[in-house]
Amino acid sequence: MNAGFIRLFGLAFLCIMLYAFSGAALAAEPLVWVALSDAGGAHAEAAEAAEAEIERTGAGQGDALIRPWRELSGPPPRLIIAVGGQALSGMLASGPRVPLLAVLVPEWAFQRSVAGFNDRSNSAVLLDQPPARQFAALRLALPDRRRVGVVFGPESRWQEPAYQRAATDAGLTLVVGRVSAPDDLARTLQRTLDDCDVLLAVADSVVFNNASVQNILTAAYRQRVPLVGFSPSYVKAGALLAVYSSPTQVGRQAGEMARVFLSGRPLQSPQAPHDFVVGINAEVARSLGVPLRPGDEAALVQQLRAAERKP
Amino acid sequence: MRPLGLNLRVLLAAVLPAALVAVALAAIFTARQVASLEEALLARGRAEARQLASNAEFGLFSGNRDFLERAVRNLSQADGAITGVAVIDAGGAALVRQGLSVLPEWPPIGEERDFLSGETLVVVTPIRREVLAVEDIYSGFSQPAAAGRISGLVVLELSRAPLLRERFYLLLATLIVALFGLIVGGVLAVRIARGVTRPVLHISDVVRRIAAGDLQARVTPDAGDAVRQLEHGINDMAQRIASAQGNLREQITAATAELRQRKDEAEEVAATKSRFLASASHDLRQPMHALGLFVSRLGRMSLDHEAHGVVRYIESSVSVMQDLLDTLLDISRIDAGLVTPTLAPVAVSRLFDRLEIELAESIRRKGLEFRRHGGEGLWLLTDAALLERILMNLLSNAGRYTQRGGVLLACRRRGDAAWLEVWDTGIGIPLEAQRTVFQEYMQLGNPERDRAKGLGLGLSICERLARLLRTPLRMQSRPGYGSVFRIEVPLAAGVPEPAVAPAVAEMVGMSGTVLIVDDDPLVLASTTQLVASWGCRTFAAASVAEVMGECDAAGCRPDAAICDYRLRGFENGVHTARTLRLRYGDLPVLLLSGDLTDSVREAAERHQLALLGKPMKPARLRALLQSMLNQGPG
Repeated sequence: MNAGFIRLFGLAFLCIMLYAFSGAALAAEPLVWVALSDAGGAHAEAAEAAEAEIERTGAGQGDALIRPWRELSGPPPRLIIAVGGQALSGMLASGPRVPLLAVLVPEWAFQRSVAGFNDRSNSAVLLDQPPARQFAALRLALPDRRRVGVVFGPESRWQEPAYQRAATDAGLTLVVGRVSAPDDLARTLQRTLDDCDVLLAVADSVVFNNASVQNILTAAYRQRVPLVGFSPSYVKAGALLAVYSSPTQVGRQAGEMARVFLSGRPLQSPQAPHDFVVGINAEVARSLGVPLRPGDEAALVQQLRAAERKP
Repeated sequence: MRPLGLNLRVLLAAVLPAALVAVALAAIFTARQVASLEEALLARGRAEARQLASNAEFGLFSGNRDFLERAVRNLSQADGAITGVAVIDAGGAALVRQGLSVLPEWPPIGEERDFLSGETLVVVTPIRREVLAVEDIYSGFSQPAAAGRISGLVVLELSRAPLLRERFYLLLATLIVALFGLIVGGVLAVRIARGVTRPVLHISDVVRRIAAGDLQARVTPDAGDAVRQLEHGINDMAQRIASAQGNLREQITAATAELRQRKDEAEEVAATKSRFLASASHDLRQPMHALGLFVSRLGRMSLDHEAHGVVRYIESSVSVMQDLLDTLLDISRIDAGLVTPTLAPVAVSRLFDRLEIELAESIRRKGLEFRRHGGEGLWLLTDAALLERILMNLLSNAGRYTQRGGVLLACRRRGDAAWLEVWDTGIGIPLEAQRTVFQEYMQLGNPERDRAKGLGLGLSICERLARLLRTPLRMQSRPGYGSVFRIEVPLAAGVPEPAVAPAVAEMVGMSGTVLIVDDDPLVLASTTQLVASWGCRTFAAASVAEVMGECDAAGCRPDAAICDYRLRGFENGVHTARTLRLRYGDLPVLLLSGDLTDSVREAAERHQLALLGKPMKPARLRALLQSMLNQGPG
């Protein structure tokens, strides 16, 4: 190997290194970290919607860095969007102390996670639909059923007053069942079903979980009481209908909030999702004799939106 | 082992493979059916237990016993084989229990199991919480759905009795079908086989009858192609055998007739020859007899020396002529079949006595020693005259061919037989001649054929007589040392010695009155002169009446009588003897006969008459007469 070849090799190496450093130096630091709990599925869908919304009106490409939360490091951004419960907990615990916006978490999970992290401004686009929207949907879909049963568990009991108020506002009677342990469920459920003509599910792992849903659905069906869920999974499992927001919808809403924040205004407080969809299980409707047909979902959404726009 | 019958073999050949196949098929079929029944029962039990577990889940969740009982009842009603059901909760308590005999322990999670308890199949299935995936981002959980928790157990008992019953019926049905198949197969096989075996058995029967000689037996054709050919073949064969046998019989009949004709002719010739010989014997013997007596008488007369010499030559010639005549006649009589042996017990000692009387003197006269040995108390079963003749010839031969030393007559007992042997110290017989020595006119050491040395016929007669007696005649010889001839004679069983053997004739003068009857005047005269020359008083005549008249006229009582057998007219020696005995009591009578036929011998024996053939030797006559006179009448 001669000296000329070594000199040529060294020159080429130098050129490559210069190019690499100049590129990094030219790129702007990302303004927003989008931390994912899960690399795919609903989380990626929400993150992409948020990124699209940020970049639609913002400084342009590269403002948002989407990574699984464990892979995010470097100079702190201006805002962290945490998608899902794990990203939220992880970023709160080990992320930089910058404002944090949580997405795709129910309210109870958000509240439990941020408790003790008051050193920074935290906000969220919550998954929970407002009780008023759910009752409105009930009134539209099941106009004859006024007694709405809700079984609260330890994780959802705090919502009971809000539900109570909304029911009253909607002109409905709330039949409440309270469960503190899984063994109480069957008895409480039976009592609640005996007293109501529609059962509304709320997110609570003690009451509604994979193992209990079948029996709850069976029990409700045997009483001819339709179940109203809070996610497409419930519609699929046998609930009559569900009002929920898609990941894209909440992602887009989070993107809007991030844009507002990046424009210099303070981070807005946690919000319920603005946009939503309605899912209907037409088979269940037919079985229970409820006059809902496939295609009624869009009409229902329209009617609900219209009602919500009214002052 | 007795071979199996044809029908049975055909039946076995047809039915045995079918039976094996049927049994094998029945076994396989039944085993498979029973296995599938067992599997079906188990599958049904599992399905029912799972169904009940699925149904019971909500009842268990809601603690609704009525619901569970209904579900259990529905299941029990649906399946009669179910003998017990229980639904057990997670704590091990039975929420519903119906007719259950076994309550198994809480099984490990996720395990479904089954086991047999006597006649009962027990299936244990866990009740799982049905899982619906509703835990997602909306509920705040993102973990995948956990496996369904076990919330209880279903225990199901199924009776195997119907299965066992079904198995029994299955087995029974299989056996019946197999048996039916075998019976039908067997009947068909027998029917088909009979079409073959019946003709074959029929053919076999006919062949047996043909073999037994029933050549008219025929097969009635009633079989198929191959066997029909056989049937026709058997019939053809029987017919051919019958016709061949007929031909044969005709040929045999013709040949037999021809043979009979030849035989008759031969017999006629033989009878003619025999008659001729009888006549010749009588006619020749009479003058020869007389000649002998006259010469003997002449020898006793007082003649000068020269005349005595002539008389001795005449005597010698007469003697040779008599021997020659006797021997030739004997041979011809034997050959003509006129001599038949009469077997009777014979005392060896008496036989030896007689031989000694006859021959010892002539042997001793030649300067040889004569000895006898053994035979005391032994009885032979033989014809005394023929045996005596054989031994006499052998002894006379021995004397003739021995120049010094001696002759031994011996008897030795060998088992059930006696060996009668004649030993000599003569010239012996060369090895090359030993085979021909029994032929006629075979003489050793007599090339010049000296008549005085015999005729060469002795051994030939001996051999013929021995053959008649069926006793082998053997010979051993060393040239220059001598010979031994042996005849083996069977012993007679336990015969007492009837009488004391006659004493050896004493060459002393005789006294007594002797009647002589002969129709030949020449013989009558010569016999009378001879007997008178021995010192006896004689009365001679041609008939018994005359001689009795002469005797009575002289006032004498006879002591013995000599009669010719053949007399004039219808008279014969036996009649004469009876007439004499009527008159004189038990008078000893000697019959002289030119032809010693069996009838003559029998007659003589029957009437206890002494018998002497003509021409007789004077010495013999004298010895006999002597013993008769010693015996005396009474």
